[in-house]
Amino acid sequence: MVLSDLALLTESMEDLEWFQKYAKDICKEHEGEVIAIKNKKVVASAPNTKILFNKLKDKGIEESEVIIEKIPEKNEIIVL
Amino acid sequence: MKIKLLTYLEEKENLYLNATALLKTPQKRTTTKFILDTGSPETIINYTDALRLNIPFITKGKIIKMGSRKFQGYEYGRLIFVFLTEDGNKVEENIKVIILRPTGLSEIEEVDDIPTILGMNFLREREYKLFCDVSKEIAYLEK
Repeated sequence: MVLSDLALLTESMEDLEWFQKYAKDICKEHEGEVIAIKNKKVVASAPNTKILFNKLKDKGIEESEVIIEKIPEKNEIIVL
Repeated sequence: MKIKLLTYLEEKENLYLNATALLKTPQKRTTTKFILDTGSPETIINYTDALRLNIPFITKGKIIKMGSRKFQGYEYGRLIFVFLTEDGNKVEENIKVIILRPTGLSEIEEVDDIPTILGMNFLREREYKLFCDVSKEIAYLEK
């Protein structure tokens, strides 16, 4: 089923808010990994994006419909 | 019309203004998370997002300096950002963006660490105002 732009956008914002709510536990479990989030679940994780996309493909999950998060190492922050 | 921004990532100590958006080219679309960066004069698209959208690296643009590193930027003018508004609708904005392209395999992860950034050019060109009260966890773009 192809989601409308609005439905996909609403879903992705809910997924981001879900991630932030449970970030402490998710970050602990996936420290240093790249994760894909969809429907309020971590649907795949990998050491890098290339492997993550292969895993998503294997699971039949559309790579353009997930939120990708790079989980930092412990005590690491990003300064732009 | 307001676009809600979240005020932190991962933990409440990690303060960033961020939200999701849909990025659209004439051929493809993808969801992404962006960070609003008032320290960036330009809007930059994360390398993975550019790959997901099949954006071509054709028009060389500015050299982008981040920290002590310099990256070649490529311009792309046909990208549409779709944002979720606070009343549950969507708003579309076209903006010229810059994509950073790694020059070799060793640079891929370094370039890909840079997230999609909504820069100051977006606020100026699309005439948005930024409201931010981090202590109350309230932030939004308004037009």
